[in-house]
Amino acid sequence: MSNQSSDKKLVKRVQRGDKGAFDLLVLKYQHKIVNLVMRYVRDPELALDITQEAFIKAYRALPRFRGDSAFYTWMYRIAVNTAKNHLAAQRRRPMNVELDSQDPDQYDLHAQLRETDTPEAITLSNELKEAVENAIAALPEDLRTAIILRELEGMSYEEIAQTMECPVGTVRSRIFRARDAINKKIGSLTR
Amino acid sequence: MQFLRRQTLARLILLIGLLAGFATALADSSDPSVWLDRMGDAVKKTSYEGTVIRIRDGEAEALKVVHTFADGVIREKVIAQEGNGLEIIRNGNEVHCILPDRKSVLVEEWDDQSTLFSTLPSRDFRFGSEYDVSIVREDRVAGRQANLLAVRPHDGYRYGYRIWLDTETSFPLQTQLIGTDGAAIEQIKFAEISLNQEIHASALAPSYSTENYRWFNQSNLHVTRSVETGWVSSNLPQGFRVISTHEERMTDGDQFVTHILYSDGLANVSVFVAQLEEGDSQGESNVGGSNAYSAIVGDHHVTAVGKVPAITVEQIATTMRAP
Amino acid sequence: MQISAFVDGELPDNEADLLLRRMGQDAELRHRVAEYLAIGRALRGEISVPGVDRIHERVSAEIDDKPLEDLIATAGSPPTSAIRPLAGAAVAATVALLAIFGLQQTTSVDESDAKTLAGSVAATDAGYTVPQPLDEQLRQYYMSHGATATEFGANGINSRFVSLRMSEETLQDPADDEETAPAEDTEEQPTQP
Repeated sequence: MSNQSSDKKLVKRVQRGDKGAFDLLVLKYQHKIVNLVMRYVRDPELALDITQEAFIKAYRALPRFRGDSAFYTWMYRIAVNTAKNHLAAQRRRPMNVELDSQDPDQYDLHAQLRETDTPEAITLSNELKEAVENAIAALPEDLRTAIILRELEGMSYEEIAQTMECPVGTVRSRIFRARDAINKKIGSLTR
Repeated sequence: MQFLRRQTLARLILLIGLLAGFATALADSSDPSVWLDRMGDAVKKTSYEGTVIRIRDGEAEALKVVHTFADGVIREKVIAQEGNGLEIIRNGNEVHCILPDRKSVLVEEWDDQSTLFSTLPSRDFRFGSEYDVSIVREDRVAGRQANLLAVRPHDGYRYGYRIWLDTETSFPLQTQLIGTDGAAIEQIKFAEISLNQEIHASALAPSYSTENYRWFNQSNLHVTRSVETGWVSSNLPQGFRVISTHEERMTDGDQFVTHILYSDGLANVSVFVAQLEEGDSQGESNVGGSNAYSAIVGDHHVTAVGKVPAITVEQIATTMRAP
Repeated sequence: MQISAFVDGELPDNEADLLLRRMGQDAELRHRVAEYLAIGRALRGEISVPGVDRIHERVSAEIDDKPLEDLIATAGSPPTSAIRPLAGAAVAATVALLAIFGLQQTTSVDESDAKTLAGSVAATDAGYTVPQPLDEQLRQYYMSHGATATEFGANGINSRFVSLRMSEETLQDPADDEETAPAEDTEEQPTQP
């Protein structure tokens, strides 16, 4: 079952009233969407608010989503429009003195859109990254290889099975055990 | 003497015949364009009071409406039943838009010709035959006898209409905007209406006391002037032609935008050509029930908008060519 | 183990269906998904905004207030049966006619909706709609279209409602507007194209 068909299933379930399915969609894409929104607004708190708003809009519009495009493509458009509308609304407000005295670039829409590097406001979750890397280093080699091929190389189970010369079922088991072990070590950080 | 009497008699018979024919024509014309012409008059000159329901995308909205026409002056009041109770009160050319939740009143000057249901200017702008019009059958709407008229487009570039006209007054009691798949995109109908009854002046007064409200004049920030332009579409859908071209400055911009209006006699599409700016979007969107499509043509941003199918605005926007 | 495979998109359809059903009810299972996703992101060094992990909770809390069933469109009036002209009464005519239009907010249509061109086949233009606040430029274009296109005359009340609802935020304070309003359309000499 591909990623797209997984999304399709989730969307159908949401349309039938399964809010948990929508929760899964949000879980899946919340990071990507926030990062996308951060290309339009600098303030992380605002980005979170806009992301939340975008997901709510998507939820309300889902009854009419026909699935002609991928869910993420659709969600992407909603998020961009929500962010841009917020910016447009900001522009409509009358100028106030404080704004004038600030760095014009900070409020320049075009500058924000040209931003290719991550704004300073985004913080690397260093603590988590370090903990995961330590946990991976502590894994048995076959588990470590499997999880790295999956998460860093993006290989399918089939491809990993070929690479590691083992059955697909073994790949599935190794990846699960790797995650389980990592989770136990970093549990408190992801809650 | 006899000759005269015969002549008189003949004239009488002719006259009676004419009158009878005229009466027949009034009550029972099978020519749909006659009904439509009458409708144009009816929307302006009929006094009415009622509740209108608008349905779109499965959502319904109710408006209470009052309309009188006396001594050549139109007076109207429209109240949104849901939401913030927006009211529009019109007295001739002066219009007050009352926004109760913002405790504000917007005052505007309106054109003499406008009504709740605006009509196209008739004869001068009739061209092309992109539609067939026919009378389908009799029906009942809001407790009144009505004739159902169908306006069918020849192709998928424009929408059709179904209109129920009151048999007595030719007033449109119900209209549907029909999409290219034959289903109603939008519908407006009177749930209840009283026609040509006496309407008390209080029915046209504001529902709220606007004593402590702020009053605004909608200043004309939107500057517009008539121009000629070299922008053309290289593939305009059948039947559309240029009606007017303007240059306009939008309220928060400093650039002038070229605005071309196309029409096929019924459907209208506006094309806006602006300098391309970063962040300008492309593709389809929808605003107020009209479809829109934006495209980048050279270093210009072109947007077509109108109450037409999406393919129409897309085709027009993407085939605009610079002079 | 199923959740792990599900996150990788490697769970067979029938198992996925069952799991989805369970996950719909069980927030703990969904949380496991979040944990696995977090591991991958951390490994890849993906940066994220603090608090982003809580978005799904915030969204959940908000949509709990609004059951989706309430938002699912209720059917409007069904279209009347197929239009048949009265015998011989069909007349090809150009039309002067009223146009009615709606008061909706902006909606977006997906670009990948199939469309056919060149009029020979009736195209479908019914996309899906996303209720969103209005893009400012588009709002201005719509209002200008309304003012110019005689389909709703400058002043059809319906279009007034649309533009009023759109423009409620932009009401200028009378104090800001010192000058008297300039005259309406000034008919100047046509400029060179």
